[in-house]
Amino acid sequence: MTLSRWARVRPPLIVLAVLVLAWEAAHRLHLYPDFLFPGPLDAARSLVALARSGQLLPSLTATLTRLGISFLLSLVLGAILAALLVLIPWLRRGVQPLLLGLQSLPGIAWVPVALLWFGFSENALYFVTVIGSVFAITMGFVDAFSLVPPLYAKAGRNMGVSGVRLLVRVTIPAATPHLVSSAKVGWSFAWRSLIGAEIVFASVGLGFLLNQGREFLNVAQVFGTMVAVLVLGSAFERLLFARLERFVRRRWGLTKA
Amino acid sequence: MTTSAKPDSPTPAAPTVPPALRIAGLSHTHQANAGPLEALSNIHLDVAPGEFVVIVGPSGCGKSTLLSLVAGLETPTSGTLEAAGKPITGPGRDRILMFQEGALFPWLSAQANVEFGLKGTGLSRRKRRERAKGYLNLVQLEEFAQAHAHELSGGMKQRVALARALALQPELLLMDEPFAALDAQTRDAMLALVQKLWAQQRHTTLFVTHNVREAACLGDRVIVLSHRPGTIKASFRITAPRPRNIEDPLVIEAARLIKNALVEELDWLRLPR
Repeated sequence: MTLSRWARVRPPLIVLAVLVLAWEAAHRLHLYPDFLFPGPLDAARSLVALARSGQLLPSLTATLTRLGISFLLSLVLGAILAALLVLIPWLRRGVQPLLLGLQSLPGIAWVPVALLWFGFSENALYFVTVIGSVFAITMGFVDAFSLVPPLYAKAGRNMGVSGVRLLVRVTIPAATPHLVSSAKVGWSFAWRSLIGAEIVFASVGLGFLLNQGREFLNVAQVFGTMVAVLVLGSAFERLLFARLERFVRRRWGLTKA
Repeated sequence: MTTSAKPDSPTPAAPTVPPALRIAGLSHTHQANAGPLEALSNIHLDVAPGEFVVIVGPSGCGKSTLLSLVAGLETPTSGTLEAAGKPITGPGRDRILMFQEGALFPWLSAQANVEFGLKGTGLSRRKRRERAKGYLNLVQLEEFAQAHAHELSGGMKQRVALARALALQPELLLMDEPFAALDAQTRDAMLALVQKLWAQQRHTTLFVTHNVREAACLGDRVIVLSHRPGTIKASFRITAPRPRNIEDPLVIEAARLIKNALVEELDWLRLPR
């Protein structure tokens, strides 16, 4: 049995409505001064104001451009690193513990180094975003390849396919469901690292708007921007990655159609 | 009284035609985590062109290893392997192995699975497609050409795997317990299909099973392997007329004789006879 579209979106919509109402109610109880705890309407108004003043759109495009380029770079670098680790077992054994450590190092921890190496520049933002996500992607890709059932490679070799052809025609397709999941995880690492770095030193971008709100004691702008970050993040997650994952899993027969 | 199964006396092949498969003094030891594991010991076997040879043995006797070695997926520890007079040094399209699990590629349609091995054989795209269609017809799955593996039943998957193997028109078809995971009705239908295709095409076949009835139903010859390390313990020539059904009296009788040879190998289990 499949739930209708409405039945699927209803529970999260109800939760969202309850949360917004609770937020508004908390705001109206005036437990904190209004300027420190604005309500949802204030947050929405401040987003509109940012849009009208021409600050919102450039920030959005700046953040999304940085994210897109860094994420692609991370995917390419991650694929190269993963290929090396898969092809050279001793390298993998040596590097894997280090990679696990690097993967769990928060992207924001690279900010000081980035600033010292690249100054207050776009390159520093790219550096933090790439390095904050590339290790997770590498590890995910390596796992994706090691999870491929050996039977598929056997069947391929049996039919006279070997070397690079075997990699392209059998191993990569067989690893695709896990590759997609790893890319998704890597994307969320990149997203967090970028917003964090933007808060610290960007002059345009969503993270910058957050920090600007703090500097001007404009908590409504802080809340509004946070909501924007949240909505964008879940939009990518649900509209792009979840769909891609679902498609692949169905095609590969990992879930019932 | 004549039986359908006779102990086999080796009949030397005519010297001009090399056997489709010659296995001489073959031994193989796996390097397992728990240490070396002797899987096969001193196997000698000649398979004539067009012959259907079935290998039965208790589980863990190295039957699957034997097929893997013939397919060239593993290199034997010692002994020689020759296909049509040429030494086997690695995998080749002349020897195609059909796996117990089918091993269809789930990201490809049935049609694309059958076409998979044809790429790089020098056939044009159109020829490859036609050939694949032809073999899907042969296993009566033409309607499912575009279906993906997960949309097919177990029996259908094995039919696609059979079509994929046959489409390469191998000199030697190797089948590793291909019907072990099927229900009885589907398996019986597969036994009929395999016999029909073999009668048409006469591809030399080496078939591994632990089911003696299946063995008696399919084989020109049935080779019984001993418990690990696998050695050839007995060999039977099955003369019952074809096509055979798994419930034919002659098949049942042959199966009983094969089983007697096999059960001795299971003595360590203390099975009631």
